[in-house]
Amino acid sequence: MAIVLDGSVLGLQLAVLGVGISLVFGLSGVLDLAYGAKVVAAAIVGSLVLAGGGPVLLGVAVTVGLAVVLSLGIDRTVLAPVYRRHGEARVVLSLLVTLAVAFVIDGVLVSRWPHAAFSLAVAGPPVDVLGVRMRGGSLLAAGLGLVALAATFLLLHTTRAGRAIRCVIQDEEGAQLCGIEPARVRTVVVVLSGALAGVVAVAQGLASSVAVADGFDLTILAVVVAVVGGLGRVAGAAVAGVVLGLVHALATATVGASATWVVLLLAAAVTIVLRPEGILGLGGRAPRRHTARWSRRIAGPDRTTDDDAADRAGEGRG
Amino acid sequence: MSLLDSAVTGAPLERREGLLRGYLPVVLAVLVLGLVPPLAGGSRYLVSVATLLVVLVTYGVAFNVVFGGTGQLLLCIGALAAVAAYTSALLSGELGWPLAITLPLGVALATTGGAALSWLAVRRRLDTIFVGVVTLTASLVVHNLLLGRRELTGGETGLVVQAGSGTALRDPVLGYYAVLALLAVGLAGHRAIQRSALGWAFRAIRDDAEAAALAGIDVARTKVLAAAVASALAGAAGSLYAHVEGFVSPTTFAFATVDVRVIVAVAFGGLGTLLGPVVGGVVVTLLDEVLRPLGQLRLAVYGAVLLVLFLAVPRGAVPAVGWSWHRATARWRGRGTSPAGGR
Amino acid sequence: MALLTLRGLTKRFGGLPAVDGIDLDVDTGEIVALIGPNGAGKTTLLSLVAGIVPPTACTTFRFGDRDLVGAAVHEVRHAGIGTVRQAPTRFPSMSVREEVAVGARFGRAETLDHRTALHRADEVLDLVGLREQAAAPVTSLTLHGTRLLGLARALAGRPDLLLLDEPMAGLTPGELEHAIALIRALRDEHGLTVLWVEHVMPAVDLLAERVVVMDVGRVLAEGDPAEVRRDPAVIAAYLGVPDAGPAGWAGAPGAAPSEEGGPRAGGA
Ligand SMILES: Nc1ncnc2c1ncn2[C@@H]1O[C@H](COP(=O)(O)OP(=O)(O)O)[C@@H](O)[C@H]1O
Ligand SMILES: [Mg+2]
Repeated sequence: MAIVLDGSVLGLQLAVLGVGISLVFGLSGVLDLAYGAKVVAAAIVGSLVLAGGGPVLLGVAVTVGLAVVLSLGIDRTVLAPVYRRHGEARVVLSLLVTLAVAFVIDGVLVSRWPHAAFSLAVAGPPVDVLGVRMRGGSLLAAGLGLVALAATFLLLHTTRAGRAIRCVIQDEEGAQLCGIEPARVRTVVVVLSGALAGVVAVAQGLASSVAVADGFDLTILAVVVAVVGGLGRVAGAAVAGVVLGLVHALATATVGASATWVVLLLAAAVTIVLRPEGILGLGGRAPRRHTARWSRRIAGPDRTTDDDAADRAGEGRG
Repeated sequence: MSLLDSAVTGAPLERREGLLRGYLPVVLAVLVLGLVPPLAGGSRYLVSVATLLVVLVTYGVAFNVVFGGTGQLLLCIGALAAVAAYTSALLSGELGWPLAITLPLGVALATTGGAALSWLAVRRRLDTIFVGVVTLTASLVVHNLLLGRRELTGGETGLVVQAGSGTALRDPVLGYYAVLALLAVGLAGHRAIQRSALGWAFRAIRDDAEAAALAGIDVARTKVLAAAVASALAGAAGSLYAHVEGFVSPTTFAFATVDVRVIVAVAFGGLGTLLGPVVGGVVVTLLDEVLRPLGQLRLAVYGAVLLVLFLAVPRGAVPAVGWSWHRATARWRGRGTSPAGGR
Repeated sequence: MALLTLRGLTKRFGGLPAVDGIDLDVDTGEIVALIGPNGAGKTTLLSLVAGIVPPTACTTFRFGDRDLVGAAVHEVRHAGIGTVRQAPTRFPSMSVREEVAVGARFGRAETLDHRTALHRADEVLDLVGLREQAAAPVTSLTLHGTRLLGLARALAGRPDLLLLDEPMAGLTPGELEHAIALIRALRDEHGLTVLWVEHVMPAVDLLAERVVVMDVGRVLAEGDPAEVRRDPAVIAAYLGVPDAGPAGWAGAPGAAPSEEGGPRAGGA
């Protein structure tokens, strides 16, 4: 039982990480290698607010807000040229550009605040959950992750914007033909993904702490979770995160801490090789033929932005 | 003057220079790098930086063969190098086996590992990103094993490589020429591939794997072969470096130390081009050294410079230079066409 | 003597059969047209023979004296079967001559050397009429040019059997004439056998010695063009596809339905 609970706490955070990176990839083919760096940057600035005597809620708000602003800022500036390319060229360039962005963020953090760490201590004694004593912070972190995932799913599955997002993820051309503006959808997704990065920062701060050097590991975990879930599949990423969290807890309990990562990574690799379409298989994805119907309902009259027109032109030349 | 032209863009398939012209870029690159020790004026530091540079470039050639050649994003160059290096260092150090046996053994192990990963990816028809993540997890597994089995590997403190001490490899300058010789083999090998039927098969597979198969190319075999060649080269470079340095640690071969730098160097130099890894490796190393005085801010500035470079020349410096050169000389040659290949 | 022998060839996509227990023989030197409504399974059949799509079941796949059950794409090619797909794929970084030379170099089990491959490419480019565009990038070709390039790439590998998937759809009358003459010349002068999917019925009439009609993954009828035209089952299969069936058979080339055309008979 303890294993399940511990695993879930970690797993929910992995799930949020995976969903955050998977959403953007699914939408635009940009695999954001700066994701972990964004989480850390948001956390560190949050810690500065706390260190300056700011109230906890302000710290949390600043953390999430900064993650969103950072996400949107990067998307609008350095990623703009990336979006002008298509197919594999876009994937490769996005890897390189976001890697460089991660260097910049990490570099600034390391040089300015080498020893800063973000942690939200939760007062109070451990709580009994199903007979297991859990730290209050861990429970809060798990709750936060759960709420964030639930909110993401509600957004995707019940709102008009969410449907538009899923349309574009499944079939960008089709969605465009139905009058959805990929550029606007992208803004929503980038904000959402940034907010999830902020949530990860806060949850990590609650469960343990976020240090300056954690960015790279967070990115790798996010990528692994997203790919195990079947890149671009939000539900898959969520499930993959929780499953890998459980594997981690199980491995810690059985083979000991040092071999845990080996077990976790091997589990991930085996899943990817056996089910490249994702842990949920193809069934996790809504059938393509529904796409057109959704998008027509939500999108209204035909419009395309100049951005898209430029994209198309670029495609023709490439 | 089409000499430089073909060296930087990779000649179109149908044009194949004679032996002399074909390999001249390799010879020139190796000669220039060979000048480092005499020019370094006995500075041990410079020679050791240059040794690392040459090893990085050799990793880059390996990555270039497998990714630039066949589009397999093999993100475990460092791990393959580590497998070969630790195998040789441990077998020679613990069991006292001679280097002449343990070096090839380590390389063989790395080759098998890389080929097996590629075979798996081919069999399962994994996309670029999926190959990347599977091989990335493989390299993290290797890294964690090196850290975890500390009774064997010394964990993060590393391992002093006993074998090879007292041999010529430990002389900094001779060691430098040893790794340079390996790079020469790697570059010449890449050139030989480009000039052979295998090079044609690479080009066809990169362009369209299904069309390549319909044309009669054994795509699976070609991909696994490319991965094996790359792994062998990476393994050889890793273990040679271990014996030249006399010390290895997980960090020496970590993903962030090797693969990230290799990707940056090859992408900046020009994916798939013969001299791309050389140009990219030199630029990345120079950048590292120039930025060193900045201390902690170095990484940030490094990232910013890379950002500008990637966005300015997304196809890589070598093709960009090749293109400008081609355009400049086209007028002079009276031919206004662009190179059909661009690689 | 049968050059190609297929027995019990079946392919299901998620339970639905696209090719359903096909038996087919093609004799050496024959030109066989494969026709049928959209979705009949013609493209799938060719892909199965080419090895691009693995069959769900197949009891016999003989080619000459080779057993090709379970053969990979390149093995089928090396056995002497050249395939040109419906939407021909290209090597976008190459020139026309280079792409055809790739076909020449790897088309048979023994790889040709650099010079011989280029020489062979030039011969084939002369044959199909692309010699003038030899140095042009493959991406600069027209639709007909791209189809000819695909054909040249297949021919360069010295095949015995050509599989062509709708080589004439969407051609201008002049291009159509060229394509018909070319296929005839390939058989008459170069001894090739041709198995060929086509919607352009006048071309079928002019060229085919035998017509195989497919519907819902099965062979519906088989025989010479006139015979097949009178077959009631064939007429029934084409009902609801105006101009596509025997009624529109003698119409102008442009009147032939395209692959995107109307609803298919026989239900989904
Ligand atoms: N890759 C595939 N996946 C699923 N169904 C397919 C696939 N390819 C073809 N089909 C189905 O198989 C049937 C036959 O298709 P096809 O061979 O292309 O017909 P034709 O070439 O005669 O028009 C169609 O119903 C088509 O939808
Ligand atoms: Mg078809």
